[in-house]
Amino acid sequence: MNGRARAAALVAGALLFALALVPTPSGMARCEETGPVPAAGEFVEPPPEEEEGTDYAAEPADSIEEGAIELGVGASGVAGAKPRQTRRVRFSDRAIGGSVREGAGDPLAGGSIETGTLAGRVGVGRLAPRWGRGLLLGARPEPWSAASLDRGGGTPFRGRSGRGAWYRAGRSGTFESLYGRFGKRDLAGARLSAGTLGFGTLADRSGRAQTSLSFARGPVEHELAFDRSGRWRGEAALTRSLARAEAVAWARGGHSGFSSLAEPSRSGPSRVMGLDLASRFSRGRAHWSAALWRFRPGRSGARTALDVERTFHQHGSLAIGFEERHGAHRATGRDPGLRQGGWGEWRGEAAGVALALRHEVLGAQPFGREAVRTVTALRLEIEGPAGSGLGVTHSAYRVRPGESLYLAEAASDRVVLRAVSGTGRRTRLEVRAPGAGGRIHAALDLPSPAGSRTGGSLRPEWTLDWTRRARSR
Amino acid sequence: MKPRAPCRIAAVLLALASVARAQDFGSAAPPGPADAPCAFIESGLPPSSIAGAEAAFTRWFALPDLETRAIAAAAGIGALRVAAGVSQTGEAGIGWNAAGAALGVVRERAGVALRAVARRDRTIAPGSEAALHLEDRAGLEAGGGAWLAPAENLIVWASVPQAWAGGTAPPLDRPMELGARYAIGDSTGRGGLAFWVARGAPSGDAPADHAAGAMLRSGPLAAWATVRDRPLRGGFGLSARARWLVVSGEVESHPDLGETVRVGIALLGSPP
Repeated sequence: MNGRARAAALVAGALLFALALVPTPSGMARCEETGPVPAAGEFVEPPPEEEEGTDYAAEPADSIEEGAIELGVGASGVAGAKPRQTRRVRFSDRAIGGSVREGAGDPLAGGSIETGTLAGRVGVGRLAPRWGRGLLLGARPEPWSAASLDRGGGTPFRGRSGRGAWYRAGRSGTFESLYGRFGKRDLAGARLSAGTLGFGTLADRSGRAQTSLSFARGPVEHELAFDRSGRWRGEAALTRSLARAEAVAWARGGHSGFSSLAEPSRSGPSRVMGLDLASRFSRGRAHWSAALWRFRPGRSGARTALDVERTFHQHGSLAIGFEERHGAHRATGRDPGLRQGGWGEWRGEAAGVALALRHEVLGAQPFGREAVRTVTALRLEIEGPAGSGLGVTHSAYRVRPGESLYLAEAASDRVVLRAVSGTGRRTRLEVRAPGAGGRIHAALDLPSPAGSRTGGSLRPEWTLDWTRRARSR
Repeated sequence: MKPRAPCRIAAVLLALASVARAQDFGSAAPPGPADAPCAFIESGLPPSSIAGAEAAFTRWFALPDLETRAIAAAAGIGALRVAAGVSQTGEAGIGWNAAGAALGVVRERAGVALRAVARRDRTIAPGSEAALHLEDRAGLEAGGGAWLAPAENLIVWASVPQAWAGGTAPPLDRPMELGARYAIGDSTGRGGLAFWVARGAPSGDAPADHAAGAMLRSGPLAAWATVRDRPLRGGFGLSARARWLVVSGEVESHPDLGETVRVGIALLGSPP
């Protein structure tokens, strides 16, 4: 059996496995939410434009109500080093809204402001647009991703693909234009939508241009993108809402030399076939996805993942997941070959105390053997009076040289994927409490030297953040 | 951190035991939350009982020069639990003294605690060179634990005894331990069977280790057996209770290093 046949068999097998695990319709309640169900605990990785093995910070795209203003002041540091300050402000009004962050070394520094004008809206600052299926702008980060989490509107995170200015006219973005710097390129672009059709073009200063034609009607979405030299890519997606589940299938084809001017690192494979199936039932959910892709001849991959979560009567839940990957999932870099693993997560609550335990293993051989990374983590949360609380997270990990592991840490204004390596442990203490008319969040990270085999810093790190939200009128 | 030079022999011997679950305040009790004050200090898992005192003795791997003696007391007011104790390990030339404390909160179906243990070598003369560089001969570790009863008869616990350590490295590296215990009791609550499993996180180059066991309780008597891996070994323990007095003992074998014996005598403030 060659690699492609093996991958096809893998996808088919995973589908059968998923169908076997998903409860029968009689045992399920009607799915009340639409859209792919986010996986609770997949193996997390930063997007491809980030350097592997470094920390990555993402900004949640939560919104504030109209007429509100939010101020935030923070400080962070490492033991023995000078603290760094951060400041941020967010505001929203009928006419104008935006957010600004500043701070030395803050990867999220910058901002955006937008206001209504000329029968539309105009904005400056951070740019993270998405056109159509994202072949030119707003691509999905991984070959197997069914949707982008940080490009376009309505995503859980605020992305940063570029910075510049934009103008959008019409209620649903009938016309939109932008000018900005994406990576090392200055780009200008415009897109016109009429009903189900969309036409957009993007060009840089040296005359390179790319064009996008898109079609979207209900559950069907297509996009065709091409450049002046005739290289092209096309993608079609179909979203199908079943009685209690939602399925998204997509396929892409085109020239392997086609690369997005705006986000070349997110150009992704030239050929992709993917299927994403999400289902909610009365006491849990299930999510299965499978994808096959090829960047160019000799560089291809496949992945399937399944996770199932079950909630219990007494505020507890149990989730388990399985994942298998073959080949490379980046256009460049090494090909890691087979990766197969799984994870399990249990959460229980009693008397204001919540305890969550998680274990995950990813191996280079079937059944997680020859583990390349293993993580065991616990999370303890204690609710206090007046919205105060205490959280403790402890992770023990082992990462094989050459592999990357990211531990997700949530702060009051960001989510950080902390890159760790070697063998080690990390404890994070968090306190949140009301104070000074706002909310205070303090965190202390304690890498433990005991049992560690890592070249990373073992100095404690701390963050302190104060946030206040008020009405502006 | 620098290795504890005078205790090298002891440290090497103890390090060979990849999953010695206890150190200075080892108690003859099954893994998980226990009423014994020593176990509270050792694991950071707060007990349900509100008061008690305990004296514990451990002979490591049948080595007469490597013994740990500990005394501890615990008290509780309402949901608050506190314990403190001292211990001594090894002979004067290679041994160390330790003082430990734990502070926790227990609610009906959950408990959370912090614990800390400070150690120093036994042979440090006042004013000596060693006393001037105490950081080379003394250390402090701090951590905690939590347990939760998500369902009737089921207890899940997590213990991180060494979340932070400073000064001289602890003789034993004790990584995070996760465990669960399920009890099948009789209608009177004075007897029954309990099963548990536990997993210790990897430590250094050593892989994760696992333990499983069962305990049979009948009135004032309890007996338990434990199996551990890496290397495969087992142990058994007995405890007897007469009103407030509890006497317990445990023997754990090791295929290479010999037997470890723990004996404890305790006065506990709440009946089983």
